[in-house]
Amino acid sequence: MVTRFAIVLSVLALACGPDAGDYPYERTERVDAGTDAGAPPDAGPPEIPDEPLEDWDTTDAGPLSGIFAVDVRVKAKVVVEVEARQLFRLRILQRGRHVRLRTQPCRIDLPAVEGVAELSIPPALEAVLQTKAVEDEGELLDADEPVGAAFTPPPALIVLGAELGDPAADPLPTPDDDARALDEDDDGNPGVTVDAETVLCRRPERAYLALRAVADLAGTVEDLDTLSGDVTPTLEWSILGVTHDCLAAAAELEIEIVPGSTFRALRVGDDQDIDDNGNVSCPEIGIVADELFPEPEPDP
Amino acid sequence: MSRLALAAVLALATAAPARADAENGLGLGPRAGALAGAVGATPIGSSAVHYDPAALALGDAEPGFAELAVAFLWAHPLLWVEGVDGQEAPELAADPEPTAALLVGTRFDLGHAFGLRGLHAAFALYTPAAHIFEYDNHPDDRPQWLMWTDRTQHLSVWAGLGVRVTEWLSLGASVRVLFDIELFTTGRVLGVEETTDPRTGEMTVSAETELGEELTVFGRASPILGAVVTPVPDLSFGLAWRGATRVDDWGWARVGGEAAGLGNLGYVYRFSHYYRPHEIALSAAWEVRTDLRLSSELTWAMWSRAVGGSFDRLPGRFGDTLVPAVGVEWAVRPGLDVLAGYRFVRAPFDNLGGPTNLLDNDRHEPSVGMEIALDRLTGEDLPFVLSWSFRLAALSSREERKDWRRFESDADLTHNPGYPGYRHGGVVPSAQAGVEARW
Repeated sequence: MVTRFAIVLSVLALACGPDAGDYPYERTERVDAGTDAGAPPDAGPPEIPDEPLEDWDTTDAGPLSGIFAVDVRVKAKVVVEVEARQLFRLRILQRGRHVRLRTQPCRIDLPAVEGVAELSIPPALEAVLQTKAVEDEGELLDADEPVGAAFTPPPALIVLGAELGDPAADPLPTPDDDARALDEDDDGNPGVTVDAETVLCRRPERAYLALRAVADLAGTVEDLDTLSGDVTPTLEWSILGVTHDCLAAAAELEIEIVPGSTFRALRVGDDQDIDDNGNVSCPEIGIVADELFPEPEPDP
Repeated sequence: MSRLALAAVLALATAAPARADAENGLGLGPRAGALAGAVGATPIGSSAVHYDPAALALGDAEPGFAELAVAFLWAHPLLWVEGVDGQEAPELAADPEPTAALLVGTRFDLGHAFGLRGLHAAFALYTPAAHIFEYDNHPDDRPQWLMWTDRTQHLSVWAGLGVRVTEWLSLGASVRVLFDIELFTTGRVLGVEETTDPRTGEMTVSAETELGEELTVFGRASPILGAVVTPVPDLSFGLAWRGATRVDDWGWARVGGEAAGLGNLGYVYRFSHYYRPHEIALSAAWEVRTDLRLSSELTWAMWSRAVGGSFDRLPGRFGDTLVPAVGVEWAVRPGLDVLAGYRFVRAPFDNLGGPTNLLDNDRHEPSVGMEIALDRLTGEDLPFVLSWSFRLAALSSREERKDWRRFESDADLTHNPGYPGYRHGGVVPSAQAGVEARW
């Protein structure tokens, strides 16, 4: 009798619908609930990592010396024409025509077709990006008096996710030849990881890539607080892997840089020095960028 | 997601037509509808081709008989969804469109032509009234009724044989055919034009494209096998196996942009619009008196192997179910039968707090109906049986709350269209009316 009852119970248990025990959890720990769900509405003052000013000898520094926020607008064609924005921090030490220059990338927006295919650099990779500062010096102005002078710094080259013998010319690693891929964001995946959303994906996915960006500026010193001019940018990437096949089509998209890219550099100082440490660092420039470089009003 | 956004998403989802599973949710024909599907061991004419083909051989038909049955089916789901935090959001209430369908079936004495006694054949066809099929495709995380969307919007065809091997044993076999769809879409972008609204600055991209489609429809056959044992004249037992089936929909789309100086874009897809698992049904029928018959059925449905609309297995969220059903027939007077039934359908699907938002509920399904045999009622030579049935599927209220442990990140959790949760339920009244002629 007991056996029959047990058999009946077993049959009923096997046929009583879904069983949560067969559905494993994605995660069991949630240290800070909601921390990755976007900025909370009352996040308080932003946290600025302490980054001291470069220890340069500023004796006899010229009037152009200082820190500039540089807004680069890259025009590209990804199916349709799009505009991608890059943000740099520029430290200038000017003596006559001679300029010592430190160019630090703060933020790079990858060309995207909004709502169709968008790649974006996550905060972890942005921190890696900001370590890629390059220094140069030379006769970068064509006149002793900076205002009105032509400003022609050497190209600023950034390589992410790859270790290249000749960073400017070597081909980027590919999925079939990824020996030179470098896991710079230390997440266990080849190259660097970017967030990817495409119309074919049901949820945000990730792509692993190697990237090379070059910004070749050629401008004029409008006044002691403003430089502007044209940019000859280069932007290329190689997709080393994706988290879902739905990104396959996006990985095939080809980016064509088209003429018309420009830059504008504005002096930043005490008003932008949020942590009052005497330096305006990349995180601070990122916070004030929209205020410094507002989107142009559409033509009436 | 804000409440407003959640309300909008849920309202959009539930505004889609919601229709019930005809064979199992409503009953294939008025008699099956009235007896709540407890029909495996009782004579139900051509509808037995789906429930238990061995029952095709049951009944007291004259040698050489032929039957033709036509029935009209109507259902009007009245379903609702609301947010878990009790916000007043009347727009969440679902108001799905009703559905209408036609069932045509025939059963005849095939053996009579060959001198074989008790060999009956049947054909049946079920089709939506407005079209042959219509399907919606949505990601599994979009709130949608799992069992009440698209499930009557397909064409089904059955053919079967039932044979009375001995006085106490009948065997039957049939095949159910659904129709799969293969669609290849090829496109060519001829040109892309960008225009900017001079007032708002908004950019619009227009693409001139040539499209071509290649559509192929395939039949998908699934077997149904059955046996009916009649150990004593007034008592029958039935056993049927219904093979799993589905409506498959696959293909790809490729758009070439070389003519416009662009790259190529393409995707492949696969959907399942209708899934019915393997089922084993045990049934019994007891003729208590000459005017009273009781019937019952217990169906084990192997839902654990099911796939969702996007062809994902969704492990853990589908589970096997047992569906009990009982029915009663009472001959009020010769030629006038009153029928009633009840079945309980356990929901085979639960989101369990995960990313999917497929709505499914336990259902209590009471039903009633009537059969009028004109010849017996009037004593005239009118070989027609009129019948009707009414079934009410009451969906038990169910609550779904999203569980952070089911999501890879809090961003995925809070961006889920069903976050933070919802309740859902409703009723689905359905009715059938038909006429059967016999020669």
